[in-house]
Amino acid sequence: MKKGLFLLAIVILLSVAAFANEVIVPTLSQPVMITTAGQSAGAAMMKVLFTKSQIKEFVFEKLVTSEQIEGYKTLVIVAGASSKGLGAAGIDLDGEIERVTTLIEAAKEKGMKVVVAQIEGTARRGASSDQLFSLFIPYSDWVIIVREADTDGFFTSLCEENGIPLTIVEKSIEVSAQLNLVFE
Amino acid sequence: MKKFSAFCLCVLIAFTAFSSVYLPFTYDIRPGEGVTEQRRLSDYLDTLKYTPGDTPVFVLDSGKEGANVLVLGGTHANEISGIMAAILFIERASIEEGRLFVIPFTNGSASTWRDDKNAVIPPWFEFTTPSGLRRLPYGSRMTNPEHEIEPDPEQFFLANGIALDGSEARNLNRAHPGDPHGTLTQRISAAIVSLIFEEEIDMVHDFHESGTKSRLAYMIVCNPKNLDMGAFAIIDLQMQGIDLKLEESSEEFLGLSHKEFGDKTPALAFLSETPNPGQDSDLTKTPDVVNDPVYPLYHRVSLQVAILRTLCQYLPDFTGKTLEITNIPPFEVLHSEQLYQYYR
Repeated sequence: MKKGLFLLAIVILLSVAAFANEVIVPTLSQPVMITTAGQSAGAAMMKVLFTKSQIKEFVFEKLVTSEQIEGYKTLVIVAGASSKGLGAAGIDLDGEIERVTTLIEAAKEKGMKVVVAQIEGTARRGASSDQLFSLFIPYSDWVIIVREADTDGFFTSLCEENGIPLTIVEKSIEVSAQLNLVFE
Repeated sequence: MKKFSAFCLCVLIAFTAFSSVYLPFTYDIRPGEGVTEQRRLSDYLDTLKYTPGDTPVFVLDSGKEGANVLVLGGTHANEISGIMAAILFIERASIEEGRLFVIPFTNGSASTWRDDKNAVIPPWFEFTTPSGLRRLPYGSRMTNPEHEIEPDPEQFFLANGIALDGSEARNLNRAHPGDPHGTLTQRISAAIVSLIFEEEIDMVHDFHESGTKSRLAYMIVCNPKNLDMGAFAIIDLQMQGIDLKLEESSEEFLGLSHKEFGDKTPALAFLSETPNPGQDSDLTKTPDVVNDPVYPLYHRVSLQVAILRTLCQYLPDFTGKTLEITNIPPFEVLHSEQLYQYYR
């Protein structure tokens, strides 16, 4: 009897220790504001992925500002630098960094959850894109990426260092199913 | 004797006059039952008539009002997956709603010669169909310099002043939207634009290829106004097991089809790129542009066909009009040596 109780105590202790180190993906709420950091086409893809999910209340604005997120519960930022996208939007990388930094600060003040996504794989890895990830991931509540983007462990390391839950999918089409799991 | 001499002189004059008119090239294209009319690009621009830039336009008209789609193969005549994809539609497709316009050799002049970069590659590529061995030209990226009305400038300038190498003056995909009274290359472009307006084209798709290591390989490029539609297609294609990148037109790099047709006409404009081993710059041996073990032609052609079909599926959502294409087998059938069985 005493031996059984002792073993049970060990099992409980080990389970608590395991859960204590696990980073839990938060539950997210609607309505959702989707935007881009870097103006790549990935943001348009994310809009499609939301369309294919069960989430109904979402809006996409590629140049959303901190004044325009009142009333939203979750901010989804699809990060990836595109010189063509920045050119089309009439903004340079520094301006984009300033916009998104201000946006995240405002989102945090309003109690919004922030999600950073990279769903374009190796096409959106490079100096400018990595700069965006490094700047914004530390302020996020959840990061979701495609596996192809993390062959060098960049995102895994960044999320571990900052205690951010990271979800890795094989293909971007799997994002819709992940959204269904985390949104209430 | 005098009458005979006069007759001979007339014959000689007539022969000389006839010889100075450019005879249009013809390649082995076998229109299927879906083709309702064969036209020429010069039907849309008089200044292209009797020039080496003129080229066949195949019309597949359902007779039922719907979307009008223009497909361009061979803007660069060495980018053969687009030529083959275009020809597959000509030889196999039926249209149940809307109209499909197909130009398989958009820069026909470029298909008549080969530049230094393509010198290692045979001038013809072959494939076997149910009717036997067929052969099509492996041409060049640029208009034949012998066909142009003037030599290359020292530098070629885009409309916004960006300078390129002078030979780019003969690159059709830098010449858009063209000039009806300009160089031959510019007139080809202007004729396409004229076709877009005259036929009220709703969507233009330009098939291209790139080197296998190019960042352009496996990409769909969209005019910004139709980026959303491109995103839907990308996700849909992923569900079919086809992974492609998505990009939008550059504001700076003018003259490209997706940029200029999208900006200057009402049409939605797309361009797709598949990887061609014949376009790699580090060629250590003669590439096999048909049977490469990693990038065989059937792989590239089937991707192009899947891209166009998927984009067309979203036309109702983005234009309110439909182009219904039938008699083209699904991707999983075309993505094999079986592809060639569907040519005539």
